[in-house]
Amino acid sequence: MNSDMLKPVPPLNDFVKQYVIHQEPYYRAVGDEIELFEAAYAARMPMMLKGPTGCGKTRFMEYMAWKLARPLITLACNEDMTSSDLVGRFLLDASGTHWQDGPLTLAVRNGAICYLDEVVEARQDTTVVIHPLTDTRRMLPLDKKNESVAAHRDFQLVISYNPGYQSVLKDLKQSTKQRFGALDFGYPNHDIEAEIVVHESGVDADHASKLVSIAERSRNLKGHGLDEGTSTRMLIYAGQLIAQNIDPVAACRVALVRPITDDPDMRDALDAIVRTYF
Amino acid sequence: MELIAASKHQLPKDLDPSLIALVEAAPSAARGKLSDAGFAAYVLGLNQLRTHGAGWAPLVAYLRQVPLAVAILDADIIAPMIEAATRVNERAGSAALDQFFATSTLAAQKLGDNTSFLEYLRLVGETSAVSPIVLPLFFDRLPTLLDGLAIAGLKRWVQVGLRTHSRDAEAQKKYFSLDSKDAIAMLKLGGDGTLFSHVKRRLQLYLRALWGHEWIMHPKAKKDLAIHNHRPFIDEQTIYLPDAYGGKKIGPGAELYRAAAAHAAAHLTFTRARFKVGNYKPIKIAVVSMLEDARVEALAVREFPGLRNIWKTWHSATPELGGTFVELISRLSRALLDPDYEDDHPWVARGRRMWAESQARLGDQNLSIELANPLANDIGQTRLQFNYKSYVVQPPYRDDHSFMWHYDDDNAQQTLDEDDDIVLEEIRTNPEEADPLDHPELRDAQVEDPDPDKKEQDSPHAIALELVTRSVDYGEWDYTIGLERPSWCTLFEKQPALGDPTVIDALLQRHEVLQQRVKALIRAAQIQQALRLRKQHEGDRMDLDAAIRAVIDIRSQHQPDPRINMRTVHRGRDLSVLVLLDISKSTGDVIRSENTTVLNLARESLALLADAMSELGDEFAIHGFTSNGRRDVSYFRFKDFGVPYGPQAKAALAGIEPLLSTRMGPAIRHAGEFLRAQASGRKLLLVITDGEPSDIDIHDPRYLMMDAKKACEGLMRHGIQPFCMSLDPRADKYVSTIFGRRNYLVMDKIARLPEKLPLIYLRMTQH
Repeated sequence: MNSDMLKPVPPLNDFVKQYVIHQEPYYRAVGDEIELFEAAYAARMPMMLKGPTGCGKTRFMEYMAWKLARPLITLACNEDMTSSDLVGRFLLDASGTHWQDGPLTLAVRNGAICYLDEVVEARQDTTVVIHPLTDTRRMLPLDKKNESVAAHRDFQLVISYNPGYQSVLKDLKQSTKQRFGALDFGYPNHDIEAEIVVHESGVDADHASKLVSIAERSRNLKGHGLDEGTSTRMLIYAGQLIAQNIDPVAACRVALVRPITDDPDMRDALDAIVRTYF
Repeated sequence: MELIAASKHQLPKDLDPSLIALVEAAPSAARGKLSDAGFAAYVLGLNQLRTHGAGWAPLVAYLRQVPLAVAILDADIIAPMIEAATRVNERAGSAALDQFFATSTLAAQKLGDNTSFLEYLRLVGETSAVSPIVLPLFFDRLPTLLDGLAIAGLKRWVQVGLRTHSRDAEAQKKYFSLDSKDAIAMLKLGGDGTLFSHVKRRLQLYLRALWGHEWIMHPKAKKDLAIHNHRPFIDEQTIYLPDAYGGKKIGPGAELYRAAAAHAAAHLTFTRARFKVGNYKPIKIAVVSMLEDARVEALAVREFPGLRNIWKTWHSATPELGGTFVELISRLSRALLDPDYEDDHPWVARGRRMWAESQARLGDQNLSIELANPLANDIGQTRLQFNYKSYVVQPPYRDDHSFMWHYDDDNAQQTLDEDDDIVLEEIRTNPEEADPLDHPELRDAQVEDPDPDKKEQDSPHAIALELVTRSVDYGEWDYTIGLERPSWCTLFEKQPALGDPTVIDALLQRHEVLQQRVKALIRAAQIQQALRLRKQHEGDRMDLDAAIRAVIDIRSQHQPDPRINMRTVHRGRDLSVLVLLDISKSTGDVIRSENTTVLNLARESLALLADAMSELGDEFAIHGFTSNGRRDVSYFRFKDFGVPYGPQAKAALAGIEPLLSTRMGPAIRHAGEFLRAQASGRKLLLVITDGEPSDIDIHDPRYLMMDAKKACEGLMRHGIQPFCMSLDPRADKYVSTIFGRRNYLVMDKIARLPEKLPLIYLRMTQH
């Protein structure tokens, strides 16, 4: 812990205030991830959240930002993103030029948590701008502006990363990977996942448990015709439909089976799995 | 004129004289059966056929056969017949038309009523439109078909044939000449049922989803036509299901397949040991088997409650059924599965009660024997008759019970009757099962020599038969003296033996899912090649960042950078790859868990990879090597650069046989020569091997390793990147010595090679 952590926290500026999460988001801890993350935050360790889609990475981040009372600046990464989109750029206006901070710079200056979602989607040359931020230097050089921004003491960088099938073509550089601590997110165990489905969708416990069983079966097919198994998010959708008195089989068809596959054989197998439970 | 006068009908005056002659020549007895209106339609039809250009032979057949058909049905069929006939004539020609009329009486007889016959005519019309080539075969086989099928079945039989083989005329012909297993299976089902080949994949997905691992399933064909008596059977790990299933007598085939597969999977999961037959009486065997069925089902239902419904629908026994032993056992078996089923027969009730009392012990396989004792005794006391020979397990989804019994040797194979014909081309499915490498203790035991006795006779003989096309001498590095021994090894380029190229296509078909996934990745890899070049002097769009920077520079009185445009280019793949395959004897070792050889897996992966490479448009070659001492290094060119990847290359791949040893150095040097001749910017040598270099005349393992390392260094000097994919889990050390720290990959799960190889290739060659 360095000495400036002992100074009082300066008030947030108005612009950043909009990123503060006021309501407690629902998050059901699966293991010790909350304690681990708190400890990592205390050390300002950059974190990487790994896990399949729809297993609660983003929700966890929102929850942690709320718990730590820090603003959360989220950026969904994509292939066309350049480093200027992260750090900022000069813009022209009537009176001349002015510098506009990018979201990353904003977080760095104001001590927010910057969350780069699906970071592999960004090109590798873009992601290297985070390197100086994620080692002991903790600073962000704005070469165009000739400025080097020292990170606010509360700033933390978090990235999410889905090591799925596509990672054959898209992967993080080793030099990037090794700057982060990583939390592995999987689908929670049966009872916890059912509890989450009940809470989020309002469906009863019995249905929720069956939905989770179906998802578990479909996850057995990952890599054997399915790129990803059914996610918790999809179960919540299915639960929401069932809670509105839609027939469970139909709800599963709409929310669980049809979205994840176009392959008729796979559809048939998954439909049969649904019927094995409902 | 005499003949006409003798009949009650008059021929129209304006009829073509040649037709009049024809009608006159036809047997009058047939004509006599026609009514006036019928006769008019009959002659009108003849005239129409003539106008449409039907030849004489079909006209004669028409004149002879149609009155007979009309006699069975009625004259209304003539007009639709003519309509169908014109289509047959137009599409399939005169000979088929002849057959059409020749078989029409038979069709009328077998189908029996107007509606069915009209359906039949429609079917003929449709078939002639879709696939005229099958019509002659179809008419040829019509007697056989109509023996077994009613009109609805016939329609389905035809439709399945047309649909399943819609793009393959040869297969279609085979089907319609009843020369294919599918065709016969469908015929057996009365055209009404489901073929195993149609549902295999969905069953595999279903079972994998339920139990989390792969199941091996094969079709089983029986010559016996009573298909409703066919039962699945289970072998060590394999589920054999009937090649066709369901139909009117049984029920919806796809559902039955699912029930059967789930039942078999439950056995394979929960029946852990076989029962000893010993001196058990047939009745006891049947009761134990039924209880064991019920036990595994109950255990499976505990995990997957919905399975009860899948199975329940097939139990049709009721109290009204009767009281023979076979009926009683069906009733009890239903009672044990279906809690809502009511049956107050004392024996059934007793069985049920005992069953309910032992719910806590379901996990114990002995339970089946213990409960069977009193139940079988009861039956014994009632002196009910039981003929085990003719006993067919009920309901139909259950297997034939042979799996759970340990028979004495003489009747061990009693279920594999001689007329059983396991469809061999289906053998070996997905190589995904539990990996022996997960269990270190199995690691060393995993390979077995397929046939140690054969060692003597294999290689030298085989090599002599191959045609040597070229020989080259290469030096070899001797690390002990630190010098290269000049012209130390002789490499012979040999003509590869050719196999059946369709084997490779079949491999690809088996890995269809994988292939599609690889294709999707290829598409992604291709799309990614669009490259945005920023800060360009010229370009099709303005680079906003650069432009703003330039304006800022101008305003701040600096020299602006004039490169303010950007453009997108598609970077082509400028790449040559040579895949060098180690085909030494050890690649023929069987991996027990996969039931296949290392070479077969390598072949499968190569087939997928070659497919991917040709799709990507990369220049590639596939060569192989093996050695028999330093004076006999064999080198095979299965596919060369600049030659399209076609049947020839596939045949060569299919023909690869494992031989001899692994002397890597000369082969690497030789492959390098081919790569050096390529003009591409990037050259890659991909070596696939299953072990470290070795040869009969070398006993120092380091020697060949250091030579191979030297050979790789030589390649790198010429800008060729060597990369090694090793299938030997212990390969890390020597492979990294030979190829360099970053240039190798050790496959720890050999079974996943077909899946991994194309992916690794894509990744390596991406930029």
